[in-house]
Amino acid sequence: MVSSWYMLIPVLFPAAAGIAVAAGRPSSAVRKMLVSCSLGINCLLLIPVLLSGELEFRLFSLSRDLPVFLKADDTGKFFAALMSFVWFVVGIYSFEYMAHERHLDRYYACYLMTSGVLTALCLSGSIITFYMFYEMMALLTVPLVVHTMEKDAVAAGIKYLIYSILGASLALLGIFLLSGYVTSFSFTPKGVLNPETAGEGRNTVLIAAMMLIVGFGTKAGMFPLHGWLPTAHPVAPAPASAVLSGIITKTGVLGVFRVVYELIGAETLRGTWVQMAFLGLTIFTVFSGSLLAYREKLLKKRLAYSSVSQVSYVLFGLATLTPLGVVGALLHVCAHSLIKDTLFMSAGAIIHQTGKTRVEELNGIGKQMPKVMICFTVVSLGLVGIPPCLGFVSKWYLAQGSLAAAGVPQWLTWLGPAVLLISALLTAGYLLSPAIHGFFPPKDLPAEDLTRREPGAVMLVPMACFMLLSVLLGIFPGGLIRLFSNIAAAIL
Amino acid sequence: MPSWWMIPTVFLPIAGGMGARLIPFSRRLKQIFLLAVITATSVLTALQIFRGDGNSAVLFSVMDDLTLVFRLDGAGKIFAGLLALLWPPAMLYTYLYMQGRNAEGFFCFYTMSYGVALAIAFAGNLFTLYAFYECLTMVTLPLVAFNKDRAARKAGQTYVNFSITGAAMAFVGMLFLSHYDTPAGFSPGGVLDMARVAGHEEMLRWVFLLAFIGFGTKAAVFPMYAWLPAVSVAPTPVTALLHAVAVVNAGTFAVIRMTHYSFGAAFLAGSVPQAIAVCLSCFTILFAAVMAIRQGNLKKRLAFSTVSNLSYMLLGAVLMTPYGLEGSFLHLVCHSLMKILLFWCAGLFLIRAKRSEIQELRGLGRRMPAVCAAYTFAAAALTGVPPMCGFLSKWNLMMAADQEGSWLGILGMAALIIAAVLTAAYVLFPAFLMYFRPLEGKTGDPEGKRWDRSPGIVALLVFSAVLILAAGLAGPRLEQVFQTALGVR
Repeated sequence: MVSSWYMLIPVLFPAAAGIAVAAGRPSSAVRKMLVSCSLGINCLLLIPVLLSGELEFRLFSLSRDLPVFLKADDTGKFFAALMSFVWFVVGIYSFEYMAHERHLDRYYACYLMTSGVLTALCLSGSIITFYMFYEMMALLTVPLVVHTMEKDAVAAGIKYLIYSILGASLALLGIFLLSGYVTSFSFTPKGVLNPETAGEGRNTVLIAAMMLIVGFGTKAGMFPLHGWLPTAHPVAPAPASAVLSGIITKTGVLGVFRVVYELIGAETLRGTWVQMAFLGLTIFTVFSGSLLAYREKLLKKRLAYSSVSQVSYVLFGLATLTPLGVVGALLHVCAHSLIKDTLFMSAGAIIHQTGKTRVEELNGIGKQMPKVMICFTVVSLGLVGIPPCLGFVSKWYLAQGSLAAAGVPQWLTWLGPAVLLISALLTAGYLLSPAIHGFFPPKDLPAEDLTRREPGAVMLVPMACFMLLSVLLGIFPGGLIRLFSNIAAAIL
Repeated sequence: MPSWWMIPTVFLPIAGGMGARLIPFSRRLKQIFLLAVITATSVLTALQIFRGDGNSAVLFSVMDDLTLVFRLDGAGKIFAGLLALLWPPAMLYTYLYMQGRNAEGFFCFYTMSYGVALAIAFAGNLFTLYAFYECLTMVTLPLVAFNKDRAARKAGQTYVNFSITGAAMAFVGMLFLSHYDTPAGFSPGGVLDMARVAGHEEMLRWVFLLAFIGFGTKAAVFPMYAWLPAVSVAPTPVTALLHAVAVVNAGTFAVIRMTHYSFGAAFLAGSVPQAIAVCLSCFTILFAAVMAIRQGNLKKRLAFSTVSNLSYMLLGAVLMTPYGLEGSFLHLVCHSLMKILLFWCAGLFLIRAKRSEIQELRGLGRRMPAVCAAYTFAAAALTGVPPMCGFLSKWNLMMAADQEGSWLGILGMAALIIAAVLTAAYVLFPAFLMYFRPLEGKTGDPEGKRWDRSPGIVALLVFSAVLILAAGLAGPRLEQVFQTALGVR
């Protein structure tokens, strides 16, 4: 439908808008206008890419065998569409939340530029292209974490940066180790291992695979490099935590997906120690993340631990190396993005309107902000996995995928669904208790805790939008499932 | 262009620098004159690189077998090209930096050192290289000690002590080499006369190690590194051009000349002295990176970073493989482009904001947006973020270490990877402070007043940043050119 160079437009347009914001230092009204329009237009600009067939556009080369090029395949298109859309909606939400903050030029400049980089990341055609944009994204999102510039925010920003660089370096080392055993670095369904050399270098390939999985798993909050998530989320402004949790963690997922299915190939990994370790790490992260969230009293930190756990659901689905698991994983990417963003936006609304940050302060919050808490409750149910929300569909597929896994010990295929179930119970415990106490406060609550404090429409509409989407997609998941089944069929 | 033109090319800046001292120009005119001399030298060098006939140009013979000879081969072209590219903008920066100070002598020596550095690039045999190598120490000493205070004198003393010690060791190496070599001058694969060497191989390899440390002194290899952080008290134009580009790269260049063009890689590969040289390089990479993290002074930190990065090049050189040689030269060029920009920024923080300590850089992002942006860009490049040129050279070095095949290569890879993470820590942290901490101290200036409004400064920073990006984007082309120049196939 369009020529291949068109893919640059949704990459460069938001980046240019970001530079305009940084350089122009517009007034508040103009900035809002500029940011919302460019994010919206960016979503529209992406549509021609989504509708075309497989595009490929070569930019330049970093070294002899390291071409940097963009390629629009189904996976990339799905991730790009999801990310641009969420980025747009959360951007709208942030106007009210950030209204009284300082340094908004910097915030929105980085926000817009990150949007362009994310699109490029999703459409990356080779692992080295992916790595390049991955690093750029890491550097560009630091200002979002540190935004308030208070001591703990700066410390969190440094921690985030260190984890990002550590993870990226590990991934780069993995890429490097692979270089002798692959035919090229471009993403190709079923992998690019060179059949002539990969046999003798099998151990190196497996070690490289593990490094890549752990390296990219850093951004996805996978144990053992999950530590940045619970530190960075509570101190970042709520819209930034929302996209960090909903979107940035998914770039790690995309990285792992590309590595496992389109670089090394599922068949190479099936039944090896790498698959076992990957499954083990994800199951452990799912469980311990939920447990830590359950014990955490700070609402945003609780949500952060919840993300640690939930994103590892996705990774678990990828680790099963089954079509059902992949479908479940991609469904959960979609579900978790929408749901966790709504949760963080609700938490942000609560902080913005009442200043309350701790779970035990939330008694009666449902009386103060009924609309916000309805959104919160509905998506919480979705995350627990109660039909008809999308969270149910995705977890169903994940469990099915685990049971279908071949090549791993029988007990491991059972352990997965069992832990998913326990984790779901814990999720219900840590998410629904604020909702219950919020709607059914104790009788002796002071009257000031019951006055209406509902936020404005700018905050409410984005939340409601995501909530409705997460329910609607749960009722009509057919289209998504077809898309993901096609992807899974191509790579397995 | 005939090769004897190399001689006037070298002596133009030397004579120009001396002449400007003697002729009573006005200060303004003198600056223009020196800039014209430097530009003319760069043009001549460029002509020699692209149009030269590659023959030898003999200056004179000391004895039968000791001749001062210039001959420009591929390796020399790379180094000479780098100098010709960076010296004119560095001179402009010097004028900006020294504004309002009585620094005519400084400018003259700055110009003269250009000629000496070029002579090292042009040198056709080890004796010529050694002679000008010694000269470089002498001609840059007044620049190091320019401030004439206690610290500057002490730094000058340290500089001389280390240089002389290193040169003495290098001299021993040269002496042995002259006894066993063929009088061919530098040639790829070495010039040893194997008939005479027979029976003395092991001793010669240990002599190589001695000369490696000797010539490596200027490249700040452990244990001869300490002078480089010490001379960071010199004015920033000196630290930026001489102690990040010209002098230290002359050290690396000398090591490469000695290793690959005199002893020969094949003769040294697989020996114990080679292993020690690799280990010393790896250790320096890591040790200096850790030391860089511990420095509180920005210029000191950057100096230790240079120590670390110079050993990347030495590592590439002593891997004794063609790809190692290529990676070494790539890093020599790419590191220079990045480090000169970092030092320029450090200098601007010093003169425009009077800040030298890293903790004092807090909040400068609002006051000096252009300089801070340039610093951040160069820092990201040095960390190895693609598509800037730091990635290109580090990737090539990694590939070279991987292909080397023995445990030395694995050791090198490990050092490079760990150092990459350390680099990120020490070079990005100051950028972090600039943007995310409030401004330190009372300034008296109104909110939002900028300290870097100067078209000259912005133009220099942009020029340098564009070079870094262009070198990265032109990666494959650059690799191809270097491979052709170095005969790597």
